[in-house]
Amino acid sequence: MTMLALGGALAAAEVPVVAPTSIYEHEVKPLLETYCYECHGDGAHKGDVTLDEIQTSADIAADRETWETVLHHVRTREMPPEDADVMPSDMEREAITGWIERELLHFDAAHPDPGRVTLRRLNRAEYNATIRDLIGTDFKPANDFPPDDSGYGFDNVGDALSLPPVLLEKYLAAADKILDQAIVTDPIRSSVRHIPASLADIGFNAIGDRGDGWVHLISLEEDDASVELSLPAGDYLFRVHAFATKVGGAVKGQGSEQPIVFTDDPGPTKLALMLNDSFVQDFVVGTDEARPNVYETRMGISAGPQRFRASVARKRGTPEDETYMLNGRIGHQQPGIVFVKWLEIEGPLPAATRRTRADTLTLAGDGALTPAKELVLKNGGEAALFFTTDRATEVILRAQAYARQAGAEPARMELRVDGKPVKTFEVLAPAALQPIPGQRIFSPNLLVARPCVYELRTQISAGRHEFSAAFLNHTTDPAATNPNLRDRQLVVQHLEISDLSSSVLIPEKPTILATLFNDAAGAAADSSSGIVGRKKLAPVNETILARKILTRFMRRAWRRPVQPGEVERLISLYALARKTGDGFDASVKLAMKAVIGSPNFLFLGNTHAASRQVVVPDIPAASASGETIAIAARPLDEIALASRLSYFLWSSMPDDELLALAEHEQLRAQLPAQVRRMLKSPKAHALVENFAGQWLQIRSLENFQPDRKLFPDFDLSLRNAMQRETESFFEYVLREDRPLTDFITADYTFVNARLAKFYGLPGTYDDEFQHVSLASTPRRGVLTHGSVLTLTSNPTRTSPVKRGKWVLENLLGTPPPPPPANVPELDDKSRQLSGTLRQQMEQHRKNPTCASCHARMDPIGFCLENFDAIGAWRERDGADAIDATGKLGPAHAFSGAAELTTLLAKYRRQDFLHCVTEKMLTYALGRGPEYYDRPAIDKIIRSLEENEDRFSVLILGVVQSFPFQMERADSDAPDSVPVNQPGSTVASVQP
Amino acid sequence: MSNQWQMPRRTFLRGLGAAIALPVLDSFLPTRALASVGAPKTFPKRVAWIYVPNGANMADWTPQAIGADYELPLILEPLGAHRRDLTVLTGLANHQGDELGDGGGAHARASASFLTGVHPRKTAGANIKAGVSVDQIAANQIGDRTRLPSLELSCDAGQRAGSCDSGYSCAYQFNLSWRSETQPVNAEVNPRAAFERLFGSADLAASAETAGRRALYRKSILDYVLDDARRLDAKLGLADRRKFDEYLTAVRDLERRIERAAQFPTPAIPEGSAAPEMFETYEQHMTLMYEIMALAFQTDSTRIATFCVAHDGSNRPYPTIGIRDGHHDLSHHREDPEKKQKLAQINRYHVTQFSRFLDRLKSIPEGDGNLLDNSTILYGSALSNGDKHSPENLPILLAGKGGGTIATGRHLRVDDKTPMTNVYRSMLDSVGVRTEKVGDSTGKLDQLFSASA
Repeated sequence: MTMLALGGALAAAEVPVVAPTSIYEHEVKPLLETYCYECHGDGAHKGDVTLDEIQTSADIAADRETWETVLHHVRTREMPPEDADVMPSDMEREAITGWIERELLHFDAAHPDPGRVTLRRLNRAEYNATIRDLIGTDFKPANDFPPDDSGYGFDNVGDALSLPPVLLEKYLAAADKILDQAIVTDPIRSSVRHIPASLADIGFNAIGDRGDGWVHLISLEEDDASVELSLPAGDYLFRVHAFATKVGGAVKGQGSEQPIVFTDDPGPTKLALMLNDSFVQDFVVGTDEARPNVYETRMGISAGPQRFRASVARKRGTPEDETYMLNGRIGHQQPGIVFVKWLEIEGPLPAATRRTRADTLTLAGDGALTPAKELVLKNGGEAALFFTTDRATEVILRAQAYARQAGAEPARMELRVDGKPVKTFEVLAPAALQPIPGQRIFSPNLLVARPCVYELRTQISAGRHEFSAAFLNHTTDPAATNPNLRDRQLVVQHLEISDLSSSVLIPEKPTILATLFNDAAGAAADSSSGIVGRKKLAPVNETILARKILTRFMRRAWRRPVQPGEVERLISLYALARKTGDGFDASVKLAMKAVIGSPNFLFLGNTHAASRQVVVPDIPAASASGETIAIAARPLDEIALASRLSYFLWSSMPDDELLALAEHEQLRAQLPAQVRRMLKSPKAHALVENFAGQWLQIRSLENFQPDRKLFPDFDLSLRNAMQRETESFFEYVLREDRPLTDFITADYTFVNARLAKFYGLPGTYDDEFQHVSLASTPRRGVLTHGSVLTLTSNPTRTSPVKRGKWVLENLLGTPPPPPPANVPELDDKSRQLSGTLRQQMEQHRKNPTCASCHARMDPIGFCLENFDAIGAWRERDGADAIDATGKLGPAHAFSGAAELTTLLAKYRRQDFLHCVTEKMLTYALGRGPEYYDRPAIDKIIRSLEENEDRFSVLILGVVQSFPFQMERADSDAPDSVPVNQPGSTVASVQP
Repeated sequence: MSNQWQMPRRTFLRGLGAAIALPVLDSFLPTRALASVGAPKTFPKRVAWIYVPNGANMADWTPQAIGADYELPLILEPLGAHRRDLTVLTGLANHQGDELGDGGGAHARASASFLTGVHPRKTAGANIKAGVSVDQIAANQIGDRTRLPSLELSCDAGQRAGSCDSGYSCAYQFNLSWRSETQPVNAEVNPRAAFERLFGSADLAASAETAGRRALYRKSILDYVLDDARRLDAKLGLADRRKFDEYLTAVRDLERRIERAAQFPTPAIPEGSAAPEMFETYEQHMTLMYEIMALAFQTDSTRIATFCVAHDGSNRPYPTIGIRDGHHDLSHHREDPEKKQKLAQINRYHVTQFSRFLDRLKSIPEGDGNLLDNSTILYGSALSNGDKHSPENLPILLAGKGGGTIATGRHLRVDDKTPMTNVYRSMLDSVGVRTEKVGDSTGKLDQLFSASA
């Protein structure tokens, strides 16, 4: 069996082959006998661990995992257990751990194994990001793909990612969709999409279908029915079939037990038709259930995914509407319930719609562009666009905007044509924060500015025209207590013109593709005419042009130089389409579809170089059985390195700079500079979403719905704010190159007004997330983030066990084994155990089967009991006072989260660094950690220690590590020990 | 500028498919055949499984008497007209849906084990595993005789996000059919898309030239991609090749399906049928799905079908019959007579829909008889008493004579705890599929057949 032989062989270089060392016999075995065999030897095998069956060194190598665990537990004093009769001295511990380390880790110093990274397909996040960078379209085609399986906690692990036949169909369909949208060659036909409300997406808290296809929407919860469609740009009609019930008030079971009683006329119920987060038009909904109406509005949309929404928002935006509802929500609740049966989207309508985003508008007067590419107008500011028409025509002119409020009167916007005022609008502001002292703020929609679309329809003459939006009444109110109410501004998002007498525009190619086509045209002209500088004049041979375009496209898509002959096969697809009668663009497009349907696009791994010669010779070693085995390593070639690097830091393809460096074999020489450059790019946000999202598990927060009766504060906005907090925090540690230990001990975090209120932080905050000190609070590090505290709780109560387990798994890297089978769950209604949760768990721990693991998990969890199941501070759990004391190992007592995190950082820092490094390496490589990665990990930890645990040192350390830089010379070399099953899940413990 | 207007009465389906992408295979299909398929000389035998969730109120389901002379209880009453075509089966069990040490999650297990006869591995996502379902066993053997190897229908789309029953992946709870032990077959929920699977989409039919071109292009891309894959495969090491094999298999699978599409031209839409109307209610949705199944059998587009009327654990209310409580809530009746009565009403309502489906099948003449005579259709639930999640003594009906092999018109009591899968083996026999075992089967149910009647 080669697997065993490898360990034996390598061990053979250091220790006598057959018998265990005399050190083992004389120094180690007696210690194991004294301290371990009671449970793990002489026939005892607690936790399935036996330590007395070693005969040869090969046995140790074969059972490497066990000995790694022993090493860890002895070192961290988790074993022998606290209640053992006798304890080893520090020197005795040292003797055991030293021997295991030598036996296990010193075998391969001469010939380390870089491991095998399985060829793998792009996962969904990577597919979306790669298409974004390759084609320049923003829609996320992979969102239609089945979810990716994950292994070792990450969804980029090759062994766990499979490719069922349905996914191939999705790939081919996506290739069609992506390129048909990017390169439009057929006339766009209008069509109607009809979506029954029961198949639409229904808001966070909505009840849904009442059984006959009518879906309830209530204003208190700001419910909506919506559908996301990816459509060609143009003008569309959006229709909704709806009626409303007459009387108002919350209904039992719908967010509030107390119906609202209106003392005066409740007024009409309005349904707003919206595009994404922009309000387009609202309607008073008829209340005759027998004759439901269809409500329709016309809207201009840009290409890509758009969400069409029918929403029953609360009324707000003006000071009079800042009334508070039950649950502390802002704005007037509308009376009644709106029932929706279906949504319909028809278009594109015959009209040439051209949208100009704020960042490309012409600014006159006072104003500035925000990072979100919105144009903020101040005193006398005016945003304009110019357009030309060759005939008199009727146009719809639209501006999408919102206001920031100050003073009593609403912001006023004037739409002008050729400088002349045509129509003035009052522009609503998103509801302001903290208007009345003493009121709680828990509004989901305060976070999202609600822009509206303002439009006019007018006749214009032939010629050049200017269309502009001007801000008329800027003012400031520096004394306002609410920071959101101090400066009145008009924020313009885009201007848009719909020419009603012109047909639907054929959209232009995304910039990336347009550039590709144009540059290739230039190059083709050069080569066909032979005259540099006279590109436009010479006729271009179309096939040459196609070849140029496709070669460039292939190089980017396949992330490597194109091999001779590869483009010829593609050209035959182009030629086929040409012969069938398609135009040039359509024919190139067909070939491009094949490029992104190809496994060369879809798979990551060293695909192009796999057949090249093995340059580093195998170094054979004699094993105990005489078999010859060696794992030879060679440097990953630079092309593959470029992809490994860019998928690690960006979850996307290498950019031109990376690829060019790799092609010239200069990437390795410039790694630190390139890594720094890449981390500065906005694309590095992928590390936050994909690495942090999975490491800290905040990705799964969206699946959590704490019990609504017990935790009425928890809504979409709070959940989003929690997620944003942890993401912002991670991004800060990353971008500011903070020490990794900040994850455990940071006395700062990021909050907006919503979260600050929830955490009870003093001071005023606005909608933006800002850096705040937690020094005077009990919160420290990610462990006390609302996100982590929520996702480690049950819907109705906290789970100290889950919290403890989360810390062991994600911060300390010492996950507990799964619970043994047939342990009765700790039922909420259970009568077997009594007292507080802590007392119940203590009774549970009397069961020796449970004790050894729960003794590690529970104390950590219980010290977080001051945070309830959604992370809010509490002093009592029901009637019981919280007892947040505990012990970290036998020696260190603590009370509360702040003390715990201090102890963790002090005494478990090594474990933490090891854990983060191992997880980062797993993510970077796309394979599970192996014992032979240990030297690489230790090396990274050493350099972290020398550099104040800086984040960049970790990233660079991983990039420069042996497993990242090298590959096995023989990719089929067997693994030396049985590998863990990927993706095996640890059954959750129900305390 | 915009106005409100009264909804016109729609008599045709408008773009219902928009929300859900059409199956990509559509674009591979050759253009519609001009003539319909010639009438076969012998009539094909069909087999189908229809699944209803949450068990039944057994007191109102199980007939008192055994044999031919039994009285139809409340739930089965709507089947009065079909009693000579029916076999009521009592005593069957779905053992693999039982807890077997896995704790909660009875509803996910019920669905996942019902057609597989395999106890599903408890996992929330990674490494899902059940077994090949009986319909897919049949499809593997005789599926190549028709244009579609099998048809999977459901009224409940899988859950978009979030977790399903007690630690089980949603894949278990929303799929009945399993192609392999790790790969469930997602059922079609959209009647329009299902219809287009049978008869092609109206878009493609619009222009034969466009459709032909599209099919040609798709085929060319597939050829190119397969060629690419082969070249890549040759460069890979063994370990990577094992992984890459999934891609090659998928390409070949798709190619085979295109070939099949060429071999079996799209049938003409039978006289009197049309693309499904837009549905608004659950009842319309069910009716449409049953109609699709009838059309599939009528045009011999497939001989194997499954239909999930609602997923197990469904908490749907039934306002059309005056029941506003959720089905699942009612199934946990704790012996409350009022809840049990309501549960029976829901069971009866589902049986009523099934009875209409049987009407429809009997309206299609085949030789001296009708389509139902040449079919074997199992109807039932994987639970009996939903309150206790009991997987034994299940409510099961068998409709149709299986081409004359099955002696119908009886209430059969089988030995207690006889596995459901034994019935499946007999059903497979009736359509000429040979098997040694289906899931946990221990034999066949010989009592079903005419010879032993």
